Amino acid sequence: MKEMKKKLKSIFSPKKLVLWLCILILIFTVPSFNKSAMSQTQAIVTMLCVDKIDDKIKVAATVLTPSQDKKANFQVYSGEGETLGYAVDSVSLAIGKEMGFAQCKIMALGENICKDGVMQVLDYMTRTKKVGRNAVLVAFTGDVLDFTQAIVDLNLGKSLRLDKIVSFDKRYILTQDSNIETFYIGYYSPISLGIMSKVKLITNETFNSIQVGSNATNSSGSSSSTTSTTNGENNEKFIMNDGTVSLFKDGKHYIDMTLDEVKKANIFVNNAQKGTVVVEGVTDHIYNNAKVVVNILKKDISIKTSFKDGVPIYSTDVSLTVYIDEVIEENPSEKLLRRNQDFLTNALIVKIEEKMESDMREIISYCQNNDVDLLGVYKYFYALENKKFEEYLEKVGIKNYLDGIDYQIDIKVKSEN
Amino acid sequence: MKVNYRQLSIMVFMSFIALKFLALPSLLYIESKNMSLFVALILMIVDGLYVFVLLDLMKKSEEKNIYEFMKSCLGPVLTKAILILLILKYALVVGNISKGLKFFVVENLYSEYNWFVFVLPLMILIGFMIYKGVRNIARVSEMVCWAIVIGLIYIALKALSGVDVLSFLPIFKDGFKPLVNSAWIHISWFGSATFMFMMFGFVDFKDEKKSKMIKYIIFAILIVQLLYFVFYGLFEVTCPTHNYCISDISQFSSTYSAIDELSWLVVSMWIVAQAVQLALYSYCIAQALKFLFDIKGNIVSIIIVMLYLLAWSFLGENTIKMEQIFFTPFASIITFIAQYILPLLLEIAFAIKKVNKNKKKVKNERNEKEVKVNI
Amino acid sequence: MKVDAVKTFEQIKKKLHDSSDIKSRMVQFFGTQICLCYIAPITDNMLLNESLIFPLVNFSKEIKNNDIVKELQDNVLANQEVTIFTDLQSAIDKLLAGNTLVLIDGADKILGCDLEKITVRAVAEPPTSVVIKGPREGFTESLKFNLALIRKRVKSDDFVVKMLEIGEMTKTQVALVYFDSIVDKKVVKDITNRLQSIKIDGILDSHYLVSYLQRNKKSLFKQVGDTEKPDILVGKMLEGRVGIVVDGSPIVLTLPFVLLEDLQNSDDYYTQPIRVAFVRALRLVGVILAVLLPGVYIALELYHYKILPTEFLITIMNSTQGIPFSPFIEILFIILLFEILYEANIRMPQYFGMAMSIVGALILGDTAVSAGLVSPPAVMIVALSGITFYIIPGQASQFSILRLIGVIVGASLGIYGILLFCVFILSYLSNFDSYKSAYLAPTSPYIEEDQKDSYMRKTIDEMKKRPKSIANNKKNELRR
Repeated sequence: MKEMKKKLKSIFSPKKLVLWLCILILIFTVPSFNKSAMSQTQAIVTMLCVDKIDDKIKVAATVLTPSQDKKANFQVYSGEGETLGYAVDSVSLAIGKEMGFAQCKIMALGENICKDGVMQVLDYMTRTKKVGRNAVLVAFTGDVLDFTQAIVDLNLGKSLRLDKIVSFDKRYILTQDSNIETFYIGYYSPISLGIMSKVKLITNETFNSIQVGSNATNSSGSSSSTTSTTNGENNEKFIMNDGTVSLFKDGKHYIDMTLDEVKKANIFVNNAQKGTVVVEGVTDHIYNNAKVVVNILKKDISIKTSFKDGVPIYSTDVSLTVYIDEVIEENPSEKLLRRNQDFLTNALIVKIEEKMESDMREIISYCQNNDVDLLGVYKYFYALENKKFEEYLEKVGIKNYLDGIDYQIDIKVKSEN
Repeated sequence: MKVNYRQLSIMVFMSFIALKFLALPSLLYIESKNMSLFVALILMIVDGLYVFVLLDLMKKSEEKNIYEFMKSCLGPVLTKAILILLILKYALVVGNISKGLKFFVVENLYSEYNWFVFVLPLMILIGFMIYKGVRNIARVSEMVCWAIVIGLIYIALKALSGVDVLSFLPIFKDGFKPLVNSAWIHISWFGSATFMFMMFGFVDFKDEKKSKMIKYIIFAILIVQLLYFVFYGLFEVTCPTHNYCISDISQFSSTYSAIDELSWLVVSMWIVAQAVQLALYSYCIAQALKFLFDIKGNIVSIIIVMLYLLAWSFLGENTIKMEQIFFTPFASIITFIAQYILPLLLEIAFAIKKVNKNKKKVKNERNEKEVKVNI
Repeated sequence: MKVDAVKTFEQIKKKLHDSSDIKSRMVQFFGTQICLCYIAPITDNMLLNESLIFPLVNFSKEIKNNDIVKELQDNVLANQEVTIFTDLQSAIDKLLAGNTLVLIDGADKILGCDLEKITVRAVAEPPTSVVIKGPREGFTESLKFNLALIRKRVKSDDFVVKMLEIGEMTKTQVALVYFDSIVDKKVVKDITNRLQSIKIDGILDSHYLVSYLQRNKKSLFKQVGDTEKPDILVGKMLEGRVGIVVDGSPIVLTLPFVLLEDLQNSDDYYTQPIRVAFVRALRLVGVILAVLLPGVYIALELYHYKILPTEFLITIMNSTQGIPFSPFIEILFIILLFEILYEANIRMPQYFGMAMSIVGALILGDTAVSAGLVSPPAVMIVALSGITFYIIPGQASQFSILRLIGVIVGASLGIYGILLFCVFILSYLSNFDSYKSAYLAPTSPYIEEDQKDSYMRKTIDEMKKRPKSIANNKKNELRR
């Protein structure tokens, strides 16, 4: 026993402890001598596009590749398989590297996968592949590979990034972030409504026709960001973000909203501060059958909920501060050029209020007709009039609750001065 | 090797926030939904009150350590039983922190790892800190505390604009039952003042200012409430799917500016807070073991604690299973008794002891008087 | 002891192994033979002539005392310091220290006069503590001169100089300097005891004493303060520290030492407080960058590319492409190169040094990068950390070791390891209490009163009390 103690003491004597420590440090250090940078051992994916073609999952990924030529930094690889896992593995095999998704900032989902349901894809990517839940989520049309290539070209050619374009949408077009987390929040909410930005892949010909068409039909114009690919004149592919938003119910694509509809829905949303109202036929002491374009400078929305005789009332008070952007008149009078004059006349205010109310009513009926709660009616009633609302829901059912609500709208418009 | 009152306050502060920002908020949400804020608030206030009960006991102990104090009030057998209970409570906390730390590090910072390699440096650090004593842990807490607080506030404020206040309404929709339920199930995450048992005789009350302690407790509660408010307001229904509160908040609130990615560095500061807390509660286990088995010197108890830490890492992926088998069924009971019953029991025992002492004194005086009269 | 001028001189010479530089001058003084014994190289010839030989040879007055020794001491020798020795050994000791011995035939005592030749270099601004504003005087290698520089600034009766002699061979003079009413007496006693117990052949520089004075002998961290400037020393003494001035060294040691001292600079006290707060914050950031930056970089590269912003990642990927070494070896290589260049640079003659910088920085660095041996980010990171070392020059040597450990930890364990390493360092330093002062004070333990001059500095008139973090007599307030 004593010998044992002596031995132990000699093993753990201070001098030998230093030796032990050195050995320990070596154990930790030696493996790292040969360790390559992770960015070299893994294929770092910055964007992943997924779609389903003929019961097969097709993926395309932009992979960061070191190169002195910056244009070669993003390489596109694609693969397909029975499941998403197999498809990703096939890309992995092609590159000969493990795929690393930690830098994956964009997840783009094709039309077919959107129709079939996106939840499995998202679950696999966030759980197994550890894609950050703040990754931008985009629905797209067109071929996976072409779309991915077009995004890369957009980035390299015009220094435009899809994630930035979509996040810009949040302030102007879309009412909320379009990322995996917000999609999850929408999906797991009682109304199970997911919202996703939609970007289109179009050819050169289609692009021209859309441009011509939009000039002819839509006076408010469409927001589009485009780029051409380098694949020759005939195969030119463009990315077009025209403000379309895809709505998902129970994780499946349900309906697309046009820019016009989204803008109308945005009136109800405080976050979306930007907006334009176009009124026609304004006639008074200043205007003569004028078409006036008014820009919204500031918007305050106050939403109140109440019940009257068992009928839920959803009242929206909108207070707008506006300024006049354009006045289009056939023979403009000199009054329009006068300084120090309030151009926001009563007649114009009435027109704006009428237009706004009609827009809002339109979107309410859009919601009722399509059974989508874009205005957060459920959320407001659930939070503010919980008991009565639950009774109401029991009566009418979760599917028809939008129909029986009395929507009251009060709009006040004031000048920036 | 005593700690001063300010250091004790900081240790209380750190202990109050230590376990709160990993899995707890999402676990609370499962039971008490959007009212989880209140569960945390109430339990933290109760913990705060118990800090003062324990401080009172510390003063009454007159420089005795917890073992001597309990022995004088409750007798040796009960004292040893309580020490076992306390060791279990501390082991529970150490297990919780090391598990949280492990998954936090692995999930958030590394894509491939060998936890065994990771646990060795942690063991060396914890062993060193325990060996150097409680003052060392107190001083390190004092050094790192503000960096961690600034990090937490930064994370919370960065994400505050995304909070939807409506998600907190309606309040108390299902009454108080889910709250009580949730509080009972997750009480083992609270009881943040239990480490103070092992501080008996190690606190210098020279600069005592109760207001200072109150401030730190309130500050801890506010920080926890702020982060929980952000967490619940941000993630709403998806809360139960977020196991790492602070890293998830930080990640979600990342904008698309390049510098934002570096907020990971702020998040990883949380590892420091966890390591310090691990050292504190490991110290408590080592100290309790010393009292329980009358061990002289620190080495044996430190080795036991380090082996316990190692055991957690050996469990690997089975950690959660093992935890469910060994701890979860008893966790609430252990914490409830250790944190909420024991201080009161000690107060009562001390009062009884005092009354008895006074009675004896009076009796002795009477006897003396009688003797004098007889003379 | 009976002195015989010739024989005693012979005796002394023999004792000093017939050293050739032991010289003598015989003089007749009223019939008594007197031998002036001195060591030529350390004796001031002029003084010898003026204060000893001339008075002895030209003395024409009557002798008042019968005791010739007393007569010489009182009326003849024109020297400020005349010592009487009753034993030969102590006389020899003084002879070695620069005294000239007066050996009087038939006397029972030996007289010693301090005629030491002080060879002093000019007072110059010390290269390690250059200031923009403020005094530029620096200590020299002469103890007497250094004490004079201190005395010049201190006109208080409280100021104490306590002389000690250390070193069996060198018999080096060591002076403890402090303010009696401010200093903690126990600290002085402790230091004195430690110094007196030193058994060593020689003290060639003040740093010889450091290992005897520090508590954790094998520690990497500096535990004894040092300064080359009298104004800094007096400032530190006014806070309650003890200065240790060593003959032959321009560096004065100060105790107790707290880590924060090195974060402060004498310039700080001559500039605006707001600027000081900024500069000190900068230094703190500098320390973190110096120690951790290469470690964090390697950790990010090897384990956490996720943390890096995409654009930054692309830049790093592009520039590290094709490097034959693994990132860890690459960083180690650059650090090694940097350290070699640094060592060579400071040891080389100045004209060579310049050429060395050019060769090191431009040719080696640039060529290594363009040859694809090392990557530009790695060079930049190591260079940046190397520059930031010198934001606190007093700690540069330990920072370079800490940086190396940081790199090893970062490469082995990533960010997790670096954070644990930081906690370990903090924990380790928390125990460095010495001379009744906590090493990390006033941060830990937090001392509110001392925050007036820690990471920020209040105006001089607001700093009324002495720091609590330094053991001192706290009852006194600074008399400003």
